[in-house]
Amino acid sequence: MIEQGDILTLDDQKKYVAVSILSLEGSQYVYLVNKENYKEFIIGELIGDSGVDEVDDPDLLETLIIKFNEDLKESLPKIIEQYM
Amino acid sequence: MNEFREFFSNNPLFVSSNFEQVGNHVYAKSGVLQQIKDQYPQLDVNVDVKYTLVDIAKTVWKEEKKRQAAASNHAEAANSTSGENKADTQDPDQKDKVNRVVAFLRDVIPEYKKSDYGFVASELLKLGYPESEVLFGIVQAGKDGIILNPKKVVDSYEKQLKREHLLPTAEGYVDQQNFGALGKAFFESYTTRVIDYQDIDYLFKELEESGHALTLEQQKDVRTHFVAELANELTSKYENTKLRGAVLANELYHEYGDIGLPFCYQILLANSNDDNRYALEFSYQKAYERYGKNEVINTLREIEASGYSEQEAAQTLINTKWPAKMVLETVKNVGPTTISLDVDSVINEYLEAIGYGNANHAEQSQNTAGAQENADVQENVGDENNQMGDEPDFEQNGYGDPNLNSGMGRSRRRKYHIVSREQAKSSIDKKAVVACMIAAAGCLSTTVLVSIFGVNPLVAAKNCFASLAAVKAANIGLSQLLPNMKDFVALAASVSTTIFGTISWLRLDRKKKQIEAQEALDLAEGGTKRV
Repeated sequence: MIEQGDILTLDDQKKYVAVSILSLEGSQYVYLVNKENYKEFIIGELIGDSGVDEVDDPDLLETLIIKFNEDLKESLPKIIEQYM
Repeated sequence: MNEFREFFSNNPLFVSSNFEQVGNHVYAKSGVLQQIKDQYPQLDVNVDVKYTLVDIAKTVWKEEKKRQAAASNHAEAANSTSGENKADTQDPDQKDKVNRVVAFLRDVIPEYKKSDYGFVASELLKLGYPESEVLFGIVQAGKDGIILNPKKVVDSYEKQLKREHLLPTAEGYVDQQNFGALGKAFFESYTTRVIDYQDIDYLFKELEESGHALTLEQQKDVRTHFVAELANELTSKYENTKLRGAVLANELYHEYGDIGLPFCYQILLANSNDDNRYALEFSYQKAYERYGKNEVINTLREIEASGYSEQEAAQTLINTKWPAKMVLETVKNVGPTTISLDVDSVINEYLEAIGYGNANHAEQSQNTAGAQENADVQENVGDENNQMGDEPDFEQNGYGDPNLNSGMGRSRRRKYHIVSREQAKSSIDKKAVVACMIAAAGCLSTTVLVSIFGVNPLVAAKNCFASLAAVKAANIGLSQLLPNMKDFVALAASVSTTIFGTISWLRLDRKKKQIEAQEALDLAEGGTKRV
């Protein structure tokens, strides 16, 4: 099961950090940031532990941005404490 | 101004030999203050304290004004009891000047429009007569049946005079290149209602005319210090207020709505690190929108009254630099019953001018919503360039840009396969994870400000990272983890623009598909194409 802080290698051969994961209406969504280049990011729906489908619904994207932001604000101190 | 200078240039105590320069300031030499105090026994100064020339001059001038006011009151009282003409109680020279002021007012009144007290006052100021004579003249003119509101003209005259008195101080600070002190001096004059924020432009012009011109950068510096003073005052005023965000935003809107709110807001945010940030942002945005909408409607009315065309109306609105989305929504909602301008034409001209117009009106009207959003992205970035004056080093990779760094911005939904998953074990990986998360936190909070509250990307990014740095730096050595904070601000601005642009693009794309589907349906049903 993918967890916050995991490093994922996708089939584009790049490594991404799962910075936030959340559940919404029965689906799991993830915010991935390229480990080497923070400008590259993916907002997608987790398909089990094997895939990520990019979100292309603008309303859903807006909702997810707000929720990822809230999640990160809450979890960042814990992650820092855990990792540093 | 003339009176002020005349007074000090004729005063034997205010000569250069009585003062000495220490550092950036000029102080009275030993014993001089006592001599001044002997001349003005009521002066509120301590002879054992070192005062600057500017401070002494201000204090003495204040005392001098009190004396003049007392003399004026005395003359007026004498006039009211004796029933004689006030000018009769004055010496011949003063009486002559008063009469000339009255005659001057008689000449100037035909040009005097309703409520334009400032015009009359500024014309009077140009005479260069002593204040008391001018004030007597105004009152006398009213008694002589010259149509003006003496009280308002007097108020305006005194205000302008005080503003003139500010100039020597301002010139001194410009000479010292002390723009912080100048901003503060302007603010002090503002708090005592001597100047309005708009008067700063006038003061800059006056300074230029006296050979103390400021560059645009220096003017910006002065304004920054002015607004910083205002922000500090407001912040401390509402320090212990529970609903600080809403209350503060309300005050900003109602009391200071016309003095560069975005700038003030930015500083307030930088000073604020409590949980009320979002409340402030939200409330401010609402207040600002209301203010902006009122301004758009007022602008439209002015344009209408001036007989300008829809094209000129659109260009005027573009020149205001208000966000396109707010402008277009407001224009749309004004409706044809409020103004005679063709609002649809104004919208079309506006979109055309900013590069989102379409010769095909029907198609354009279908795309208006998406184009507005898109225009708003452009406007946000453009606004930032105008407001901040510095070069945002983030890429403007908004919607539709084929060079988008993220995987977003396409209409097709991309699917990725997860090849492997690992947990950060080494310290290098752990630091990388934390850095990614901090970057993401900054980018997402910036995006929320940009997309939900409509704040400019770079402004939002700076605030978000300033907040992150303040909270985290002490504990984890943020500067080591994120060595170049400027790059992170650029990153957040870029990512937020990308996400906001993508959302706008996806909405536009969805609308386009809906239209295409509807058209296909119409054709299939044998109906006409929708217009």
